[in-house]
Amino acid sequence: MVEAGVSGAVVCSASMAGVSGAPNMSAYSASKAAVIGLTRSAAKDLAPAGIRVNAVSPAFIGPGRMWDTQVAAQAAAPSPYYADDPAEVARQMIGMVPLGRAGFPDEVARVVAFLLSEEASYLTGINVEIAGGSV
Amino acid sequence: MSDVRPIALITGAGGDIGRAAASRLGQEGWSLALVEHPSAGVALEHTQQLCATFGATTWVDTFDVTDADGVERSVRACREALGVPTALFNNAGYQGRFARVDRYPSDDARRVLEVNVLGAFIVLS
Repeated sequence: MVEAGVSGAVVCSASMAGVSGAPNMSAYSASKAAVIGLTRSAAKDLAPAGIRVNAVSPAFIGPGRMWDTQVAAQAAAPSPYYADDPAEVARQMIGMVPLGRAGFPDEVARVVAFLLSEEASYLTGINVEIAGGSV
Repeated sequence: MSDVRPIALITGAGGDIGRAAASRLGQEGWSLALVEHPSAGVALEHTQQLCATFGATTWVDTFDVTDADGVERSVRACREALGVPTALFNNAGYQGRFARVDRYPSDDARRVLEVNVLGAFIVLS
């Protein structure tokens, strides 16, 4: 975009793991915290070129492959936070969400579409937590 | 109003969130450059097929986001095929292993950081 001299918008996928830290996911949590830092820095660097840069941080998103993988992997890894039965892990995860359910992939997509649109023309360098109230 | 559709580039377009974003943006009138890791070509095809059902223009490619030369080649090819993207959903990621921090394998930690941080950096730049 910079090279072509066009304005535009970027959304980076961060994660609530990068905001709060997720058990058994230290590398992932570190990487997503870094993505938030990258987003904020890039927003400043690219603002003069008319390019907005924001991040989204989903928490538990499902149904889908990502949800299934995460539930199975947390059940398989020893942890004081999660049971070893995937169905119970799923219940525990949902229990952490004030809205009482996982977010649908489209509920993330709608925020992404908004941030990429002109409707978000004065937003840059922010991280939107798509987490159903979980922190 | 221009009747030329704006172009959005989505990495990790075969994943749950990448596919949902492709679907949403496609329905909102964006043309879509959909990219995935070479190992997820089938998932990428599914996203492309979904977007075709509502008539979105799509262009697909595969690359590893940590390969700067590959990313640059692909972006150049995208510009020739579709035009210059004015939106980027920098979405490719790798969740890594699940293990307590003191038992976390450092080679996997390196890969997670490379894909999620360096990859996002390369695609952004």
